[in-house]
Amino acid sequence: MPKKILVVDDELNVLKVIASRLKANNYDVVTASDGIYAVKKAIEEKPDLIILDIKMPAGGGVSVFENLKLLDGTMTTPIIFITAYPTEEIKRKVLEMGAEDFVAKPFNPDELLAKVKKALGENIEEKPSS
Amino acid sequence: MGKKILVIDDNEVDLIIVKRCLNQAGYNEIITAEDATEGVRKAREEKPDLVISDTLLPGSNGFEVCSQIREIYDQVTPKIIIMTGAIDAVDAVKARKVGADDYCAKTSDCVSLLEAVKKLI
Amino acid sequence: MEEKDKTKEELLEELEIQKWGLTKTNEAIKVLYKELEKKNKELKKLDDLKSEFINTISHELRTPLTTIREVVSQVLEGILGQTTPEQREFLSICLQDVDRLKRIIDNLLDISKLEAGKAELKREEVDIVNLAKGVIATFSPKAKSMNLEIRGDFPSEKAIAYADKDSVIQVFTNLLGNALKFCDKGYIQISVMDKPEHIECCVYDTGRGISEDDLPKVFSKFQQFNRVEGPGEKGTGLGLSISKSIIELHNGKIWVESKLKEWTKFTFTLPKYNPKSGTLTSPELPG
Repeated sequence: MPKKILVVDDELNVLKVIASRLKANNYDVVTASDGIYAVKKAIEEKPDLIILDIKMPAGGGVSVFENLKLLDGTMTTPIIFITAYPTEEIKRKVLEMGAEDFVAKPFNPDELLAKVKKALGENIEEKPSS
Repeated sequence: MGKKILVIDDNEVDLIIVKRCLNQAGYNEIITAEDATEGVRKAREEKPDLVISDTLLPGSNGFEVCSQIREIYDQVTPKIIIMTGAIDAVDAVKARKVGADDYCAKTSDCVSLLEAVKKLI
Repeated sequence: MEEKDKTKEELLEELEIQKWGLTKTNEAIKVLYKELEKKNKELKKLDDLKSEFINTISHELRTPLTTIREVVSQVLEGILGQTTPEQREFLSICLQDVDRLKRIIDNLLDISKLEAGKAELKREEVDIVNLAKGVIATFSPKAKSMNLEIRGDFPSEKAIAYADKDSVIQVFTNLLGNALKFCDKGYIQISVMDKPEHIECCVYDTGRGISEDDLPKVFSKFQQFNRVEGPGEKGTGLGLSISKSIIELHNGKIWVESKLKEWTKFTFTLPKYNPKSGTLTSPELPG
């Protein structure tokens, strides 16, 4: 069964292109463009991985992250942050908080896919089954 | 307020700041000078009610200016304030000894200066 | 002696004057201190604004670039349907320029950070000889394909500097990259010398050289000399400016010497950590 990924970003265009990329690599994708909807979707859809934009209006990705980590249904789901500004401090903070990994915008698609596979515990050498 | 003030300072920016602060406080008759010689000359010619001088001036200093002005006039008018960006207790004593009426710090809001000016004229 | 002659009145008057002087000085100190606090607050505010600006621009520029790149990339890869060879050719061109735009944005942000004093330097004891060898290894394949030799000149086995490893790699990469771009015959030599006051590094190439008129402009932004159209990544004109900022942030110096049509030599220095005095030594600029 294909793995399910929830992508959260307030930019609809970014959601669309990431979803397209992930679907082409045989993942199921659900999307959300705000924090509240993101948590709702996470609980309903129970994704195997969440990709979350760090900078979003009204609280930002960090507070969404914290909420997800508090809820029973989502606290163990691995989360990858997307950030436009990967400073050493942010990298450190992200990993300290308990995020699985982070990806910088604009991302190298191979790098994104490799990190997704790693977070899902998939073998990087394997190609996902059609 | 009808009082004439002479400001002596070689730094253009400081002159502008002091002039602006004095204007805002209601003193509109301001003359300026940028070195000791010009300062003493204008003090003699323009007969200001108050002279404000910086301590450091090209080739000279505010204490010299103060002494010279005191020699021209009697010991009471004009009032003289010596101001500086570098406070030194020895300088303060020197200012009093050459006949200055007050000695204060230069700041961008001229608070000390305006207080001293109000007390003197 | 004079003091004994003074009358009691004179002494009292002197005391009064001294007291006046001290009171005035005290008042002035308080006023100047308040002024200092005010200026400090203003500086902090400006500083915060700078950070916010850099962060915002970063996000605003990189987000649309992300979608553009992904769209072009996905169409090119056939994810969104079939494409003709001609379409793929043009999409390729588009992708190259998107990546170039990304490099320019990255460089501009580097410069902004460096000039705003917001660059984070993680300084530690780094063996520059080892670092240089690593950079040479990275560039060897490319040099080989261009029939150029990269030589390493390391009189000492180790040369320890107190520096930010990634930044120094960035400088070497920039200089070596430039050398490869402007050198079509001969060799490039990287040397690292452990001098008493500092570590001195040189990147020397037997390439086109820089004219005397152009030499002073070398470290300016967006300056590209003798740009030749051809394959390979296009430069952004910002690399040397960034390198200069990085070296100066380390309290080092960087300079260039060249003979047109014959050779070019970039030299930079890095401080050595002095464990005895606990201070950093600053290198001197050559006379």
